[in-house]
Amino acid sequence: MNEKQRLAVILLVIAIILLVTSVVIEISIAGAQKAREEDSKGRVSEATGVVQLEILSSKEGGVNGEG
Amino acid sequence: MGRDNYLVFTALLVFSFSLFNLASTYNLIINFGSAVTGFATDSGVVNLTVGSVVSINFTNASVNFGSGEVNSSATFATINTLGSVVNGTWAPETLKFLIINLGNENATLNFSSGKNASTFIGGNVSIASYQYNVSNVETGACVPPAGFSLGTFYEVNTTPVSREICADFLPGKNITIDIKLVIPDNSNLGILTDTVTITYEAS
Repeated sequence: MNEKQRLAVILLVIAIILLVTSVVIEISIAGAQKAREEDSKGRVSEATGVVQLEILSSKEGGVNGEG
Repeated sequence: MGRDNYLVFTALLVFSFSLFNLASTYNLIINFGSAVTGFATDSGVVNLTVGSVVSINFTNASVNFGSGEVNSSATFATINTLGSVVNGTWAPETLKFLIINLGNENATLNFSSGKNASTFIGGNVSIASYQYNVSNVETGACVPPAGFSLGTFYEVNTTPVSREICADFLPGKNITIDIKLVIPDNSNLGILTDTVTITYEAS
């Protein structure tokens, strides 16, 4: 293998690695974008609040309900 | 020799294409991250895509009427977050639920509670009542669905259990939810607590 052939092989190997990497990244991003869109559209979330009170007995201290 | 030159030329061509493709991928990554880049020698347009966010938050998430009792001369007391106390010894309460749309999209809101009047307040079922009332803070903040009115008290947990209260709740706007309780003189005693839930999604 002469010098030109070696150079060609190195360039081709680098090119293939870059192409495969690009394709993998693009597929991942496309999937993530789709998931993001579906997530923001169909997601149901919730927030909560609390109602509180204390009820004292108005019949306290009596017998048979007498105040 | 000529064959070697052709091989190197082809390899360079494929390598150049892969570099171009890499630049395209880089641009895709930048766009996905919502970053903005731009370069212009004279004039240009930067396109910006802002992701949609739906986020509802209770600015005030607690309504606490405190302690009190039904007047001994009455069969029930009525209290609400409009500051009204009738036939009871509770202190007037005006702190109501305050809800804000922190997102950048219109949202649909549904209201539900963990308990109804019987399970929350107890006592005479024909008297006990547990109601809520949705109001706009800013005009047009909440567009109610058909069959539901703002500024009106509705009994909780009636059919449907989770009721739509806003068909469109606008971003950056606020609504309030008032609570009204009718407490019979034979109600549950002690500290009573219930959790109300707002479920929401992009409308």
